[in-house]
Amino acid sequence: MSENNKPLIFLEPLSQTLKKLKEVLEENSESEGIEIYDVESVEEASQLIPTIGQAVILTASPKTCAVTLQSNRRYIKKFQTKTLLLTPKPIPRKTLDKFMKVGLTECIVEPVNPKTLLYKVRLQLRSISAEKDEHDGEMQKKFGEETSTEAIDTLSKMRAEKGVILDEEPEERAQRDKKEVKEETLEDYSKPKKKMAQEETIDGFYRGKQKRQEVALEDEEDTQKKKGYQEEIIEGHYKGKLDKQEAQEDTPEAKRDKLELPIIEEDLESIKRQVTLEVEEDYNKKQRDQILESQEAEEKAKSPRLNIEEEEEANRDASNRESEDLGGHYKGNVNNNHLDIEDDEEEITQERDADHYENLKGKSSPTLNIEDDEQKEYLDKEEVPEDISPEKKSASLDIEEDDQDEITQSPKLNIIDEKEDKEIRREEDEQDSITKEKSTQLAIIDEHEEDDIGPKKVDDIDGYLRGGKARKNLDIDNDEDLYKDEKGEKEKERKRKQQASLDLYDDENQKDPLLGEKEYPENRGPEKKEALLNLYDDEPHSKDPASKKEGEGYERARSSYQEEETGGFGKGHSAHTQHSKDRYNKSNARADQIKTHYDSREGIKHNEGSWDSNWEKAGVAEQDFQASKKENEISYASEDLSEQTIDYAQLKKEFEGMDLGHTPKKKKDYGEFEQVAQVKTFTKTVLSPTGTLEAMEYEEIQALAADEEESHQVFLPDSKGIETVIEVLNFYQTDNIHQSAIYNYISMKLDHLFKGDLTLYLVDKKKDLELIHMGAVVSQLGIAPVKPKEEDALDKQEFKLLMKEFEEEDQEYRMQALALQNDWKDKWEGRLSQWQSCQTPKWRDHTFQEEDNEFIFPFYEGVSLLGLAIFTPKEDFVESKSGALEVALESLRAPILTEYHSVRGQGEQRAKTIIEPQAPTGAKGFFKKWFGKKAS
Amino acid sequence: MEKAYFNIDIQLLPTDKEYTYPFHLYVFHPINKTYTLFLHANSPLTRDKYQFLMYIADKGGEVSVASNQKKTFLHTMNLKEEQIPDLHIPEEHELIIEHRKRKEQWEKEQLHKPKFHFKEALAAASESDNWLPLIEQTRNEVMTFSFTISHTVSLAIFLAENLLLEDNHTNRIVAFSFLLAKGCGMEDHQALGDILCAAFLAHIGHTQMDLLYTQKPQMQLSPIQRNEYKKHPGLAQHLIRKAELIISERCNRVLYQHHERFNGSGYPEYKQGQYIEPLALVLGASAHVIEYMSGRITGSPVHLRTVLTNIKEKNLSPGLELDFGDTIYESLIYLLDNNTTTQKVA
Repeated sequence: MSENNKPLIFLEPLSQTLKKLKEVLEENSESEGIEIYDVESVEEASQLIPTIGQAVILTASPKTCAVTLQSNRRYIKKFQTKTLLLTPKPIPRKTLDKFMKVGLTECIVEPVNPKTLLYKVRLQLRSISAEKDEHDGEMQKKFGEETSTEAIDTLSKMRAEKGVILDEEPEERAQRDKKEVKEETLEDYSKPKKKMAQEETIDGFYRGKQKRQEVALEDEEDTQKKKGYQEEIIEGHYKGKLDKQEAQEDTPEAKRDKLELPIIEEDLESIKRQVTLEVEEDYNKKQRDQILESQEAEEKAKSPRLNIEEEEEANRDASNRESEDLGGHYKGNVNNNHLDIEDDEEEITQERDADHYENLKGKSSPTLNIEDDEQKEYLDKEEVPEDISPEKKSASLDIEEDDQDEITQSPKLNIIDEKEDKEIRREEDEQDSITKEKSTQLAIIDEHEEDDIGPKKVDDIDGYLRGGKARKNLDIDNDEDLYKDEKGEKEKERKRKQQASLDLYDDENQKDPLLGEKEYPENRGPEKKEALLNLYDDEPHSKDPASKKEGEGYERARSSYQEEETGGFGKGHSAHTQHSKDRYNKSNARADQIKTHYDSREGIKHNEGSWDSNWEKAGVAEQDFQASKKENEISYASEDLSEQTIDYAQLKKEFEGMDLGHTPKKKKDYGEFEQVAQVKTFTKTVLSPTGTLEAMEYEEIQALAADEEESHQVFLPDSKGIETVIEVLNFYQTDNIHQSAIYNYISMKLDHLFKGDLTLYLVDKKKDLELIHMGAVVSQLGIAPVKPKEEDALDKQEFKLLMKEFEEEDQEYRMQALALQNDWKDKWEGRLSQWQSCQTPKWRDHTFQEEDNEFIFPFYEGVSLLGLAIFTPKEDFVESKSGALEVALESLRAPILTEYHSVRGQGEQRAKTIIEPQAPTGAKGFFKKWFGKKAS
Repeated sequence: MEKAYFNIDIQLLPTDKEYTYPFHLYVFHPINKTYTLFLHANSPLTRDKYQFLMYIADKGGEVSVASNQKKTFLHTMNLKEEQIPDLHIPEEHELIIEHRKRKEQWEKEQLHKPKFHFKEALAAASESDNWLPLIEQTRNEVMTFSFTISHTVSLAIFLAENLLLEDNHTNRIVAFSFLLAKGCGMEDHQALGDILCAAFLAHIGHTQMDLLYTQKPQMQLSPIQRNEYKKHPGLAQHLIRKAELIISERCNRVLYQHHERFNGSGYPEYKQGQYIEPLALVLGASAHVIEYMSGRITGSPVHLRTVLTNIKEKNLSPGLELDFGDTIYESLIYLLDNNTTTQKVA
């Protein structure tokens, strides 16, 4: 790996999208400075991740991702390794949160736009370029010199094992010259360990695992390390246990095991490593703390038991560091875990040590208490504050985390060889009996532990655990089926307790395995159950750090491990690790991954586009874990519906948009639109995804009811007088109709409809208003007599007779008409100038109070006045008819326009219906025809 | 059918303190015609909620109670059914009674009368130049329409009742378009009401124009005059708006688009095919056939059969080179077909 290249890990299985992405990236990998690693298994990944430093991991299987993240959580956290998960199904938020906690950077839901994906990957790659060193530095600061060196050592060892040249990391050199030597080769590495006890021990953890794979050379190194540990004992309290265990490894049995293990159980080892790697560093610290504390406690407490312990410890230290374990009883769990992480061999020795010391521990319980207290203080000072600091303990979650931390350790104990297991089984029985006897002692220890774990925890809770949980565990050991039965009950309990969040211990104990199940429902097979059972078993041990229980728990862990071995180890393991990591991570994860948290949420949205390839169904099948969640969601939704929550915001929105003032106008404009809208509402309700069929039916009934209701609404015909216009139009269409006939027709219509007379003034050539038509004459005198036609008469005599009659009638008519005209002029024409000023149709007295009120309707074409129509009601006018009158008068526009055009253009004689007073001698041509033919 | 909810006056709910009612409160949205749950029974009507209720009432919403809680409501509020106006069974409107009478009479008449065949009636009307049977048929049919459908239908009933009394140009267009629309398969009263009103109102724009355009054959108009003539649909709309006449949107479209042609050769918007309201095409075709027949297009009256034949043969005689779309074309052609006299069109 060149220095500049940024590692990009493709973790199998890959989706089509990832495959494409890989192809694309491979093409440009050199130019972009990317080194692509194709990792086929989780084991391989967990080997690779610690060695290559900060990297970007891409995977398409949530399951694989989870296992990888959990097993390498520590390194992912340390190096700020970016992990991108592509999944065809959106991951439930809860699960996603858990993923985030274990170090997932982003979850991208497929299909994802290739560009987006590429961009995201590149972005992550870019972000990792220079950060590597910084993070190391941070780690150093955090963990202090020792831890930093440990980390570096482990790194260097890993690299050395992998054949990676260690020169890449300048920090390490700078920190210690010895490291450099170690880093160069394996052999080099092994040598300095002997010199530096701290380093050796730390290195030993990793070596144990990895070297096994190679050869048994490690054994020697381990023993050397263990010797070196003596120095550490002074510092680390907890570590005492570890040391013991480590020391035990030196026993011939362990050695044998070691020799056998690497060949036979490579796979298992690798998996174990995944698990153990995570917690290594932290626990190293703890162990050291423990050792320190234990020593201090030993010094302070001078009880005979203590002395015995001390003596023993001393012996062990001298020989195999076994005595270190005595210090922390429950810590034994922790230590055991660490040991597991370090070496399988170590684990074995630990177990044995634990067995040996159970009795001793039981006796030394008071001293243990002191130790615990001290530990607490010590931890508070030195340990990563998230985990144990009293402030954080106050929050229930943190307490959970702490517990988890302990819990997580126990599963690691499972990594044991078959042979050892057999031995341990024998021991188990013995331990069981011991633990039963010493339950009271355990209780005391529990208390102390709780103090350590969280100040909130009460003795009662401990008691519960002691009595209930511990016993349960015992039962479980004997009969696992029983445990399974209890599981369901525990689930229920857990739910209840989660709400109350009082019994923290219980919650945790019960929650964890269940959560694991939830997240990975596909693992619910018998194998998985076993794994979960183991978890249960392990948890109490870790939580009840009592020495006897510890032993028990340890044994159980082993037995359970055996089961796992036979069953699917990976699954059980994943479940295990997930819980542990979740808990462990929480506090750290919060700070570290707030950013990534949101990122991933965003990422989920990027669904557009694709690489033209679909997600393989096989891959999807693997990720069934969503199924159960979905069910939950549905059930939740239905609950929600049943609740019938009232959405006032929505209600407000609905009414906000409603402008009452505007509604009637809208009605007018759009007529029946209302009904159309109603139909729409109906359709809407039918189509709306309200869910149940009943709801839909209900909506339909509602709609029908609305229809029924609507059908009772009567729409009163309101023509607004438009029928007059239509009738006038019909009159227009009479062939050769003359304007004067139209005037008369309209006058009669108006008189009929509105009881009043129409008087027309039209502008003449000089733009003066000229009286043209008087409706009063028509209404009172009727139509002027029509001149008889010659052809209508039978003969000339008759025609003459007719003419004579006509002249008489006409004379009389003229006289009366003239009288009416004069009356009009006297009465009304004084207002002419007033009328002339009217721009729009209006009543002179719009209050309808005056007796002689008139409606003035001016006709304009553009700006030029064409004429005036004056309507004078004969009786009180009903105001509501005003609109209809106006509409009816509108129909006068056509003849008035025609007249105006003719007068202005051709100067034709105006069609008049009034009687000219200065009538010439001949009546002929003086009168216009009222109806029918056009006036000459 | 009894209503599921009844509206109450918001003033019935006292405001002096927060009350809890044993009935659900709903709000009625007058536009959506929906009832939404506002407050569960036995939950306090807080001041905030009451204010919101007031706000809704101000906006035109109604406070409602479910009918199945009527007794609970009346008992709790110490009210009588008479005091809630919405609980009164509305008296049947005289127009509804009138409609029922007309319908019954119409049905009776239909039993005794021979079935009306549009094609035969049209042929007879054009032969005798008496369209009164068609007009009467239209009038009688429209008068059986319900007054509860819409304003347009009610207006159609009114206009038919008052105007379809004589054989004039407008009435011919109205009757022909109405019956042709039925012939085209439009049986919906709303649609028929729309086309009937539109047929009446389509040419009222002429009352706002020089009489020249009413009386002079369209083919004889100068290009300027023709352009002026094309304003009549807009003027009709203007007059309708001025009169504040309530007609449906579709009716408005039909009368405005009655000179649009299927191939886009019409006016005023030069619309094409599906963009034209189908009823507008029916009205356009009917009006054009009547106008052509009466000589208002060319100046010389033509027999209906000639007009239809010319349309069928597509001989593009002046004034008939118009495209009304296939449906209407087929309907018009059908009217000409002698062999299918027994087939009912309307």
